[in-house]
Amino acid sequence: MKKRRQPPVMALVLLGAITAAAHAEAQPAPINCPVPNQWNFIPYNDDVRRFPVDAANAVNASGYSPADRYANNIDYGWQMWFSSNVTQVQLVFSRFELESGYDKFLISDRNGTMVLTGVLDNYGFQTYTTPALFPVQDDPSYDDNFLNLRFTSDVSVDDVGWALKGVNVWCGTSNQPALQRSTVSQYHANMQLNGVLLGSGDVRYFKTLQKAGNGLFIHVKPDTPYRGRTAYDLDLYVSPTDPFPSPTSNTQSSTRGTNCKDRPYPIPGFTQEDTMCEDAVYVQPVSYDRIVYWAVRSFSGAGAYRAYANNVAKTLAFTVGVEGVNYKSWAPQGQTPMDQTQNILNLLRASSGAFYQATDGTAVISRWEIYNNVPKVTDNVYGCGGSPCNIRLVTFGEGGSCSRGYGLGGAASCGFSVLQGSVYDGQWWGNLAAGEAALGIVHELGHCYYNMTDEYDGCPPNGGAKVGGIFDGHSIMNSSHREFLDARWPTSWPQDFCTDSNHRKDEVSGGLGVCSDHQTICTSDASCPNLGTCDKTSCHGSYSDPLSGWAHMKACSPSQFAVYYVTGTPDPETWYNSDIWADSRLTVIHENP
Amino acid sequence: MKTSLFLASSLVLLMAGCGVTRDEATVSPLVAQPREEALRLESAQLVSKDGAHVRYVTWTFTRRVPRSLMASHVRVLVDGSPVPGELLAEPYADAPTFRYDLKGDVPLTAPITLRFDASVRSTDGQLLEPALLRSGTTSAPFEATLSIADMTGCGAHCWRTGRSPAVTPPSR
Repeated sequence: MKKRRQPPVMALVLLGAITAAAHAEAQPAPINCPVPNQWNFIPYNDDVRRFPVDAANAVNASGYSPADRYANNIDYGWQMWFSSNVTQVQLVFSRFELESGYDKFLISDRNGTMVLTGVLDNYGFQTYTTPALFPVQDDPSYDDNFLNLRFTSDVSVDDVGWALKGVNVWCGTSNQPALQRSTVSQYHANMQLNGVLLGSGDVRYFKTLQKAGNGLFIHVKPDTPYRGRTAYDLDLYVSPTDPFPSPTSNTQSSTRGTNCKDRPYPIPGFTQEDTMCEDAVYVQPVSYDRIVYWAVRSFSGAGAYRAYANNVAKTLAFTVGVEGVNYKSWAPQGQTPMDQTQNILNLLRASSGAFYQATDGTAVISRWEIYNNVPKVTDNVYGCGGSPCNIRLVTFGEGGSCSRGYGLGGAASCGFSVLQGSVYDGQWWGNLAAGEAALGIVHELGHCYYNMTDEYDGCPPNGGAKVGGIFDGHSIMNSSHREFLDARWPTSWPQDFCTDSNHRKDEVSGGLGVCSDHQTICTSDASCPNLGTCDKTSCHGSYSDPLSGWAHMKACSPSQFAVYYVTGTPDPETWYNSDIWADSRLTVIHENP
Repeated sequence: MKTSLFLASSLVLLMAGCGVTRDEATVSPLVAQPREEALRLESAQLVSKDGAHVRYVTWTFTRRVPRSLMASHVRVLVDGSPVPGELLAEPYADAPTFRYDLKGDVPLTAPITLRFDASVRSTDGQLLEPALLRSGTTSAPFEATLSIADMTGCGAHCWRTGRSPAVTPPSR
């Protein structure tokens, strides 16, 4: 992690203006609103297109479009946290168009739940600002100050959705002492904590239960960047003992500045320097349950964040064999041999991020063991330390595959060990961007490690090539190359393993070997499994694939879900931050001689 | 699968239903595309939530129309008779898109007709052009009939998700 510069002058001025609260001499306290007794606007950019889009109706299959529409069957909840001086809030939408009465944006404050639906932006002609909301403040002994937010879409009909541009905050109090929140942060849906800080020096304290044996991965990300945003920079401080972690009292911190290369995809009109780098801290496991305290603190400026505290219950190590060539000096035929080490490292680090992403932060690949020039498996020689290689990097143009995974061993083939299969990958020498190739690795791990089935989409009846522009958009096991290569940002493409509930509810899997988007080719209702119905040539049902989804992952790896078990829409976050996954404390890549 | 209807080249607008072709996905979105000069009906669809009944009808003009005007100048007919329901209370201002929620259980198999008054005007005063209603070349120049004739066999989950396909403007 890189360290950074001195605080800007403005930050020092604002810090100096803070009146120390009597209760909180030792720790930074929340700041007051910049302008008392009126609304203060704080940018908070979030957009429904962070969730899966209606892929079948995507405007531009090769890129993000502001006219894309949200997908059906979304149900995602999160929280929005405020400094303790904030007593009223308004959410400001730059766009709000949902299917009226069926798709909803729900906001719960201390007075109840407000349901927003329909068209509230006059079809793009005006912004929509909510009435004043009163953040939940359950217990005066603590500092709970949040709204519960939730977006749901039903089974049919979508729209362009909502986009938040910021919040208006009103401080009814000032100089509130620094206090902790009353509850640990793991029990709300999807684990995401959003929030805004009012300016330099402002701080928000959280705490999370770290379960025995679990690593705890805490992330603080900026909101979605946009053209012309004022730069701001937040930091993360962590301590298992001090309820108020600070720059001077912490066991771990992440104080990265701006201008990181975090973003996997370019954003038109956006300047990289405008956005803070993601801050992240990995807290090592201990043998007992404990509370870990953490603080999000503004180093400079006002702005929004998305924070996650993921209990990581599964830590994995995989072996990687480069098959039949010396990667220290190799190139495809006709090219000059070169050292491919960096390409391999880039791929494995990106795969670490993509795997963490696909499992919604429940599993981490902490170690990769690379073996050079291993014999082909057909020679019946196991080249990775005398064992079969989990990953085989091959040179014969294999886009990606899993041998002896799903289907060859039935449900018993969870993991590599049972059938000694391998993930094959032919995209490791820079012929595909590392982030894209990593999606292929993770897809194959879905087969070889979790025993998941494919969920291809867009196949016409009786097989054949995919029809252009068709994709179902729900999981990384929807594995056609077309989806993997999509360059959307914010990423709204299938990069999670699917939950049971985000399967398309009206379709069923065709099962092994069937070209399917959860549809089985049929001629009548009688030919559809599980009482499904036959629409022309495709079966439809109302249940999920028993060989896919989180339930199946859990069957393969029960300890991975010791703390939480995703039941709604997977979190739409991306975890491709190459700087973080390049940290040798998180991802050990060992090159064997 | 939503019951997605769009204007066909005859009086009866056939419902593509579950078998909607994917080609429709290539058209531009309703909201984003630039409005044409003339006021015409751009698209219409039936929406079902249970696969058996029509829950609402929605239609989109090429230009904004005052909601207050629309409320008194459109009739929704089933088998030629007005069907109980109400125009959605939103949007509150002028809009290109409207929705009529049907009361009662209108089966998906029933043909539903949108009948517009000849005096429908856009916000900027343009009259609805019957010649631009693809269905409007016969004796009922301001009607669009929506049906689901090809939806047999769809079962209990037959509505298509997604937006209504826009209609290719007819040649003048």
